[in-house]
Amino acid sequence: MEAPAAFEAVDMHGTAPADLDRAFAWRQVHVSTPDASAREPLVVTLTPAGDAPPLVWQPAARTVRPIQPPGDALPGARVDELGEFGDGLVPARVQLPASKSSAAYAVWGYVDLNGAWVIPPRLLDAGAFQRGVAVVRDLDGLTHLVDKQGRMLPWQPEDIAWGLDGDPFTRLHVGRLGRWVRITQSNALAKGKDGQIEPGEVNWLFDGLTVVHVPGVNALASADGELWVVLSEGDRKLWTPKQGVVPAPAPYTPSRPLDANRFVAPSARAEGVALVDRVSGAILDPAPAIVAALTPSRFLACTTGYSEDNFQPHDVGRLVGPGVGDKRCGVLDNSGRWWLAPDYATIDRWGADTLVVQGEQQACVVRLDADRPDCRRGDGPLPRFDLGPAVPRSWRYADADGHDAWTGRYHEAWPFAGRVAVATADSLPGLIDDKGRWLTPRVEGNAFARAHALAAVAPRMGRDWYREGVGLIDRGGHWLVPPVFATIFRLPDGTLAACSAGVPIYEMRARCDHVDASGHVLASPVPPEEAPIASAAATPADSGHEHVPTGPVAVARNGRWGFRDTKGAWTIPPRFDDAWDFEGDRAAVAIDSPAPASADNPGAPTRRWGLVAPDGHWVAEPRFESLGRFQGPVAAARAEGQFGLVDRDGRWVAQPDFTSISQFSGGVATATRPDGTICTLDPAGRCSGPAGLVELKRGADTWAVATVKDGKAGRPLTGYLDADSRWAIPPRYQGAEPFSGATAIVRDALPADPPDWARRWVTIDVRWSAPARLAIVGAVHPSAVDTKTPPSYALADDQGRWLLLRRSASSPNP
Amino acid sequence: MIFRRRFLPTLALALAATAHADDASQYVRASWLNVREEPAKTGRIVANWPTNTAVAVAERRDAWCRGSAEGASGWVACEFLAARPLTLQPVENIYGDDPLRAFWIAPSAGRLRMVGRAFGASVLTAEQQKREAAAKKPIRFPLPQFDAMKRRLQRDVVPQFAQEVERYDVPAGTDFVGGDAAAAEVVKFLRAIDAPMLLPPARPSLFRRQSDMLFFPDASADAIVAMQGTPAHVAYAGSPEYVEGPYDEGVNGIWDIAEIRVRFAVGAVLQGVGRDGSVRGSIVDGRVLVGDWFGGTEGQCNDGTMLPAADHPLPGFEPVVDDGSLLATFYLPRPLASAQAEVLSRKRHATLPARNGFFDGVAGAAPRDLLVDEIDLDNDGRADLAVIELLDPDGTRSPDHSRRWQFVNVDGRWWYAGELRIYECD
Repeated sequence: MEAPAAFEAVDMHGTAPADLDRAFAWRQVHVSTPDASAREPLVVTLTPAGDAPPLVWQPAARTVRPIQPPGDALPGARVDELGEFGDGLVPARVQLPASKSSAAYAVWGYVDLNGAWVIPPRLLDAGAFQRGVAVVRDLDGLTHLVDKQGRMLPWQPEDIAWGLDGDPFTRLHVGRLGRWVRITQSNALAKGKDGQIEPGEVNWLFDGLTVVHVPGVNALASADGELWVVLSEGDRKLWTPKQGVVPAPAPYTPSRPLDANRFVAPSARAEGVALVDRVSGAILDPAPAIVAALTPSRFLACTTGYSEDNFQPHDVGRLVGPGVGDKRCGVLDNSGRWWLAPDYATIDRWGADTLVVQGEQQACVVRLDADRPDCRRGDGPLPRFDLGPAVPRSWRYADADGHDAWTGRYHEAWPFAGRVAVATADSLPGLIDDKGRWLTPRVEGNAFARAHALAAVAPRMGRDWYREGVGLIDRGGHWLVPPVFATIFRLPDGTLAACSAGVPIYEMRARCDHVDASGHVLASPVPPEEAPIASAAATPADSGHEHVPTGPVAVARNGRWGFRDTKGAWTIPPRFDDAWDFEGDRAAVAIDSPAPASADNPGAPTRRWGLVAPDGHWVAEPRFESLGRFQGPVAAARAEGQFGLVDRDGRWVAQPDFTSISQFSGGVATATRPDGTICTLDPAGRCSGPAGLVELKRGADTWAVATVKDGKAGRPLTGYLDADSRWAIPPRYQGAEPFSGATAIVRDALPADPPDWARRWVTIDVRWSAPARLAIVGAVHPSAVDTKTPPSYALADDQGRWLLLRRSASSPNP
Repeated sequence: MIFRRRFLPTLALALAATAHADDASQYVRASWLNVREEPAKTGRIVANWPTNTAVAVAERRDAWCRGSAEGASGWVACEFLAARPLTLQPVENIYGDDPLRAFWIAPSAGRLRMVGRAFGASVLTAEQQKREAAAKKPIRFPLPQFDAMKRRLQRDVVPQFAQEVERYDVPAGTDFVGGDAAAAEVVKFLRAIDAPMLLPPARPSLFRRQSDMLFFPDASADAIVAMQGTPAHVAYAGSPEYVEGPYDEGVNGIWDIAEIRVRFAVGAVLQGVGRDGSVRGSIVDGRVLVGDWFGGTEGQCNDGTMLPAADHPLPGFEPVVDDGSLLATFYLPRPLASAQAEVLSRKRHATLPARNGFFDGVAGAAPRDLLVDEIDLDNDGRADLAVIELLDPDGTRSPDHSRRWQFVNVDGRWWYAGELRIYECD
């Protein structure tokens, strides 16, 4: 068995602090995560290696208090283990001695930061508090949620265990409230040896509400632990404490709810998962593949799929590293929009709400719980990773101009926090100052830093690979909104949403803005899903060609077609091989005749179409290869592989000179010539339109979107044709949508001189944060650096001086 | 030219399975719970109770409960007992997000296969993976849980029909519940074209229960066994293989086997109806589930799990042949009485919904024609099945590719029973 690590408390000069009146060997150390803005003190709990009680140490207040068993504990009871800090409480375990009625056993409770019992030790197990609640197991082994007063909340997660008794394989426990625990089969089996599964894949879901997923049961609990809703198992009903049983919202996906309108689904396009709108089913992230949920409302996403074995999005450490190709990662919000533009090749997690991101232009620390990504540079030289041909690839520190701040190269390098930064050389991290000098001996393991800073983010002007944007024009072809957005889409209320989601043309436009029909950006952007459905100012959608039979209806009985009247009586007995309904006094019918077998289609019959009158006699003998439904006075017919139009007697109105004829819409059809050019075909058979048309897109609007080949560049250009097939707006756009109301959405080159609002600087106040070491060490003080590799721990201040050092048994004076 | 059929999952609400027992019972919430002579882990194991076994608990001592079930009694860990049986989630979890859990709740050959497929190299230690990679052959280390699952299937398991087949109540207009995006798109589409109005009035006729028929696309081995209500014989065969190649290298199999063979207790009746109303019939004895998801030889056109079209002739019927000529193919508990049905067909016009991801390339609302077939299998003048088929834009039927949506009249109500997509394989 491995000997416990020993620690020694020292002050920043390496001597034992006066408030810790004895040098001690500590078996266990936890460091709190103080909220600096609330001026919470840094608290350290120290568990000695021997039988002495653990201590609660507040360095700033210079107080040290032992944690003793509560007064009503049995004689001989002692506190022997502490859990992680959470919400100002620390789980503490009391070892109770054997008595006449029971064997020795241990119970858990919670103490505050002064070491006083808040929840007495009456629990079999106790997890860290989080958002006001903790998961505990009572002495019957049942799992509960408790609040900070120790009250059992009216909800019991169904703790389900899988496995063979005595030979466990997959033992699944609800991790802790606020986390949706999903344990994959591989994790289960990989970690099943000890019968206990670490919540290896923990997804944070939902802002304000949290989702606790237990196989067989889905429950939503509010942040304060109140049970909000239970999605029942089989009857699609919801249960809420306030409303009782209500019908389930429809449709919902029980296994992975995110919020009322979002869920996470496997992405069909790449590794990872995608955000899906549960109402429309639309995938909300337009291009990237989501890698993981970072927080309830922040999702790590990359421009190409990214997956890595043993990826732990909630552990402090590297989430995305510099790699092959042009993969760039950013963060989506739970509307599927870029919250942090995908500009970063390296992303490290420093804590529950903090990322350190590294791109070509900047390295910065962002707070995930901020409304906007407040990316700011470090306090000194910036770490840069050389992606180019430099051998060996390494990190360096660069000044504002990108030049080496000094010559050092590092295996890992983190931004400066205050006067120090953590860098790794020869796989050993240490602290360096802003001259590149090592402040500390390099210690084993990872290290993280923390500070406060301000920075500004400049909008990133059009990148080389994004030279086009989407804007809005009026009927005169004038720009209402210059083409600076990645996308614009119409909303039910007639307004438009303009977004740069997925295309970081201008970083500050990372969210959608709403634009009215005149192109004015509305003052208060409304998320698209919340936009009111008002009377539409846009052109109504084309309802298509409505077909209403005006005569006997074609019906087949056992494969033979005839016609029936409205009472179901046969007016023409079934004798045809295919038929369309009567349109007035004409119906198209088909007769099959055996054809000589060919190599391509052995024995297939030859089908020919003609026209019959209501009494069944032939008006046009069956000679057409196909004959469509009449659309007004004409129908499209095919002869010798080419399409034309025929009248109601089967005579050609437009000769069969076309490779295809579309359905009629707005009184005209689109016909395609053998050379690929197209024209507008009217019922009289006239084919009109500008030369060189290669695409014609008609909506309900009288103007059609028309595309021609640009003779010079050879690329397609798009404009608008009016109802007379004349250019209303000549072809000059890269792409266009049909007009709706007064406006149309078009794509064009980015403007050389974008408007001021598109190039504003964004100054965001973001606080750098300490890493919250989820596994063992809780966090560090704002002015401290925490280093850890189990089983060694250490704590240094931001000047690089040690506060707490590991003391090796073989080397008592490091 | 090879034609294959690809079957999309059907959609509808499958009723969750529940076990029944008296109120005093507790239910096993573990996979394979050991029953011991003494209330201690050192106690001799006298039996195993699988998931959802109803246990009559007589005594509790600390963390151990004494109970009896399945003719055995002994001590089990109380934490693996609960007041309610476990159920699968509806529809989406026919195989479950967690195949291991799904198997134990609703054991079946198909779910065992999903479990086996889910056991990737990650269940091996790094050292074991290294050994396997070096040897370039599968080295299967024992997985006791998988062995327990294999044994579980030997206990005369009969899956529940509602858990194996998904159907959608058309007239109720109930919202689809499930996680299959493709199926959800189908539902949207059927609503958009007003499918219930396209179907003839439904009146009680041949099929009175859901399990009275099973469309071919739904016919997994589990579904057939569920329809028959009689346990099938399950056998395990073959060994995994090591596949070498630039695109697909690794072990190919269902953990430590390659195939799960299911042989039905009695031959399943497979029948098909042609557009001319002629009815064909065959008897299918069993089915082979191969180890590789795609069969490994013919790409995606062969999903590796299809039943043979016919094993034996059905007296009185021409054999069922998968030549694309059949309008509908389905399994029945017993043969139809007549080899001639009546098929009535009509063409109906519909506007495909705009912005429909269901149809690639259709950006806006598009008018299309549909062929609606009503099939009266017992010639009582009431349609028993219905098929809606999307015609090509020029109004023709293509023998190479088509999309059909199948409906069954169960006791006077139309149920949507899945899509049959026919396309040409390269």
